[in-house]
Amino acid sequence: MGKKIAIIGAGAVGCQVGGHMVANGEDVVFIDGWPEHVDTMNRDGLRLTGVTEAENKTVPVRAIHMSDVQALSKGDPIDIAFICVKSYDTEWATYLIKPYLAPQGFIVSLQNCMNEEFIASIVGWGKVAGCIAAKISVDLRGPAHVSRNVPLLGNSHTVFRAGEVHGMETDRIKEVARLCAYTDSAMVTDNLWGERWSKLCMNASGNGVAASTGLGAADIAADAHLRMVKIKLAAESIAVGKASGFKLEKMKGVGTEVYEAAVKGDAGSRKILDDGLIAEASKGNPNATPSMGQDMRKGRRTEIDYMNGLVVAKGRETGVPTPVNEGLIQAVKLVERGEAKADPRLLANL
Amino acid sequence: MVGCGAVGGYAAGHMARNGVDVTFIDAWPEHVAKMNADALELRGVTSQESFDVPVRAINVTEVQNEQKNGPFDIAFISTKSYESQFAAALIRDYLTPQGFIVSLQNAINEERISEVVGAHRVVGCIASNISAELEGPAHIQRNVPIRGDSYTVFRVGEQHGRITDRIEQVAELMRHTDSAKTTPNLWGERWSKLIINASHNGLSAGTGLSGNGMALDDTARLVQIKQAAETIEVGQALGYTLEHRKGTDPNEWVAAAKGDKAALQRIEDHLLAEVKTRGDGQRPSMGQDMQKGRKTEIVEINGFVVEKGQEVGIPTPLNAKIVELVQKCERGELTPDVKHIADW
Repeated sequence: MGKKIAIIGAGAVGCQVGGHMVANGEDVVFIDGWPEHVDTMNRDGLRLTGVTEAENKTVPVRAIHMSDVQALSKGDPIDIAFICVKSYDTEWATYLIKPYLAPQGFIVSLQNCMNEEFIASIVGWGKVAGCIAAKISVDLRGPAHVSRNVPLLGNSHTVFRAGEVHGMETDRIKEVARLCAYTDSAMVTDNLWGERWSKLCMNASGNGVAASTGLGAADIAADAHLRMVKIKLAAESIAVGKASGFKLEKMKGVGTEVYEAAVKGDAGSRKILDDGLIAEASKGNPNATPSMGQDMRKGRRTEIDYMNGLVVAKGRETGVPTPVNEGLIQAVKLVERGEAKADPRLLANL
Repeated sequence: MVGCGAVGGYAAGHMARNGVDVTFIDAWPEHVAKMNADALELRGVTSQESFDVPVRAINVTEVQNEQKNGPFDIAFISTKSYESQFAAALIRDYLTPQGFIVSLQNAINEERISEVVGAHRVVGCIASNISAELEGPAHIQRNVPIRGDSYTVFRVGEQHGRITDRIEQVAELMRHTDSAKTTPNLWGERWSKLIINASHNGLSAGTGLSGNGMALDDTARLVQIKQAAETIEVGQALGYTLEHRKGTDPNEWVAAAKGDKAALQRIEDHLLAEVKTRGDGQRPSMGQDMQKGRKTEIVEINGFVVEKGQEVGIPTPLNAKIVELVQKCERGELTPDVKHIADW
């Protein structure tokens, strides 16, 4: 208690996490660039809905427009700033909040992808920590309304993993985990980089495929070629992650060596992964679309440059070829720029 | 145009009126909404200078969509100085390969913007004596007539000083608003403008005095002269070629501050003569910011003089004091008052 918290980018994750902090008495200001969202939050409160009645609540919050950030100079400075914007907005969000941080203040990247390096380039490594939100499944349904589409995961799966870039368990990172635990289970990880990259491998293998083909999870899982594209994307990302020195976690319960063997032609490994993809698709909503597919539908810019683009960039640094990731980026960009319609044929040569 | 306040909005409005393809990007929702719903209202001192222009304005959150509309060739940054890097990072991804940024701002932000996009992509444009004010959403008022040939309002320069095609293009765009030229002396011109801002912007914010109030108050007048002299000395030590401010030699300001009676008399006469050229209520932008409760540019103006003074070993005690005073007023620990400078 007593810490001054800012949420920069009050999207689905930022609102969900910040809203639960406010509901538990924390001092939080929400900063967002969507005028109607900010106005509605201030007027009606932030509406959080979940799959059970008990999770539904409306929280009175304080939200400000971008143009009012300068007024933060009048109050106490910010102790913890959570950056929850899209990856491509990371740097301007950092510049935006930097002047208002307390001397001991720091920034937590509560985002997809791996943006700690970008933030550190602006405020220095000492002022950056990361927090992964795994399987949180939240949606900004409209102004001031966030919906969570999965039940509280609690002990069955740790949703939030907060970590320092150096991996040590500091007081401030425990504080971040404590703040996130208002929303769902949270822990401190000593392996931020490995966890980040493991999540990136999953995202890099799924998100762009959905966005460029326009297909839902079930249709993708039913297509043998697309399954193999996903496996290749994951295997390339795994190779880059290992070459970068990251300690990778199991992905959906499968060790990274299974992906490596599958792309080398091992039929048993291929079957394990194929079965996994099919089983996973049959469990969820058949039309479920990852966030990038949602962005594409809404006509928003996607995070492809920070997802598969990061795999390619780190691949170049470490000398690991990433042709399938490069091909996927091209396909997603064609669709993004409106030069092609989303179509499985865009990935036919991968 | 990233940041459509008084200067940015005014210049972009004139571009749009003359058929230039301009996108207005701003963080103030009401301003953006009104520009789109109605038009941008530009008002000047004559009826010919007053008109409404239909414009296309977007919120910060909509910038990500611009990749579909095609990248920008020229991005003007016209935000407050403390938002320079934010604005540069915001627009960076949406520039063409040859695209570049023009800092159309107060203070000296070319270096800050260069940090984000690289120095080769940054040029500067000084707006001198434009005297525009954002009076409300989508409403900008210019308080002085078009200067035209009598005084060059916009000066556009490369950081390396060469005259390039791209700064000629920028000057051409600025001529839709008022007189413009390219300059080989961006740094000297920037610092010359900083001298004016450093001498009275912070002072207005910390004392609550208007432009004329500062000229007519004996203490404030002297503080102005001393602050200008400190800033001039730092600029000279940095090797900049400084302009003559309305016919006054920079060295004369320094002499006046150091006790040369004749020089002091001439500079004081100059400051008192200026009183007749402006309205009594007119106050520097930082004084306006303080009145509106907005964060000021004190760190980027007087703080910058102090920082550069340290680099070249020139003491700047009055600039340091004004930074402290204005920051206390900003935080509400002090109320702006002329008594705060009584013993300066």
